[in-house]
Amino acid sequence: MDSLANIQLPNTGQLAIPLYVVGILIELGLIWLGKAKGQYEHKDAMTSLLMGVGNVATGIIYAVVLIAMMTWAYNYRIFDPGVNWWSILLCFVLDDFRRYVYHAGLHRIRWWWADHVNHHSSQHYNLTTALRQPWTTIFTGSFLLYLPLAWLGFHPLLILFVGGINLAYQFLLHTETVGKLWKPIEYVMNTPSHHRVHHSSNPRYLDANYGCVFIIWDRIFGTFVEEREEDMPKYGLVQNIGTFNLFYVAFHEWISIFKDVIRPGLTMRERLMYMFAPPGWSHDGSRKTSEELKAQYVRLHPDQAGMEGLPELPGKNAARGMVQPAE
Amino acid sequence: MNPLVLGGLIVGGLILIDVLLRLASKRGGGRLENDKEAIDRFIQEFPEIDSSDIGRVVTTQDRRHAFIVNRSDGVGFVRALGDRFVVRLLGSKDLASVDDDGETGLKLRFHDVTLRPARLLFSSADDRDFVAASLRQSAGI
Repeated sequence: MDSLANIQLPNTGQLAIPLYVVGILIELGLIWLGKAKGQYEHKDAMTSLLMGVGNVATGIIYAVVLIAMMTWAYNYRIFDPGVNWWSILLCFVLDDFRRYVYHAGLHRIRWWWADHVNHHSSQHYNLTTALRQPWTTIFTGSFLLYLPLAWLGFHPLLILFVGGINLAYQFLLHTETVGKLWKPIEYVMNTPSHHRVHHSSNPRYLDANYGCVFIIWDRIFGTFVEEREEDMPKYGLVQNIGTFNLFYVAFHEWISIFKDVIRPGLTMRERLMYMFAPPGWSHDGSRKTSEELKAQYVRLHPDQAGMEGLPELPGKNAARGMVQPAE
Repeated sequence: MNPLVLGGLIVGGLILIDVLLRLASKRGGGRLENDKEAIDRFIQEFPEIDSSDIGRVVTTQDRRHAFIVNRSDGVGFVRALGDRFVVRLLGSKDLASVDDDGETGLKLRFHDVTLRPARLLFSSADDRDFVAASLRQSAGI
């Protein structure tokens, strides 16, 4: 294999750090001068930034495991595209699809949500929110999702290179200063508007817009929801956390999982469901999943039933079924 | 990039942003203007609660906390966090302890690890006693 030292690619993760600092300063300045929409709150923003610093620190261990795993998989590669313009492009697109799949899992499997929830825990939406990143990704096993790319023959450093570009792009999405862009761009690319939807707790916006750079994955797989003026995003979680304490921001969902799993009187299936079922699942129905929140919203607002991001009224399908001719 | 330069950039950037945010942020954080704001925030988070079910609303002296006592289902709790608010419907599984604190004070501890223990001051002993009794009844303490 190409030795890691033979591949000359810039460290996009490191190069992006000046972009983050300058980007935040520009956004803050524009908002301060009243030239752009958006809000900053001192404790909230500092919590996000310090979560980002913690992510860099814990990410070192993750990166070691990731590179080791990918290097192992790369040794058994099926193809050998090398590092050139088309392999970089192809790797970028495939990696973005991998991120779409992983991101959907982060929202639909509680074990992964425990890692990702802190990124959604700010009730603000600005460039610092982008840096509110997890400290516990090593426990998710998500490095396994990188292996197919390495098996296909993409060099581990190439995968990290395109991943760094992907993350830098995503940083720029976390802002209210940019409205909707030119329609063709909004159709293909993930934009601040699409990502505002993703960070919202409005029922119609839950579990939507998982795309990272390209939004087409959401359009293909039916998870796309457009930002609507009449239902402006309400940022944060369905049940917001009441703390800026970094420890609890990072670990609160893991603690909740632990408490749920050791509850007395549960079956083994129920304990496993508390770990791997969608967030909001409970054995006694005392909590609500995204699907249940959407159904509740439609019951309270029947005129919204069947609109993008919302289900039909439960009775409607049954009624339709009744008028279908018998075979 | 040189690790020293990178570290300096991170630390320097953090300090600069911290200073600017301190200058730009509003002082004092969120305050509930009136009872209606507390009810609106509560209903927004719990739309399934019938507004006719809402009884008395009690706000703390600093107007950063409000309790919305429902006639049938738990006690609504609105708490300022920075310039935003956190809302809960406190039932039997939510409160670890409810203790009187002096003439008009109340100490609360929650099972939810993201809700810090609260030491609240009310305008009158009547307000405090009403909230404490409602919470104890709701929590079965």
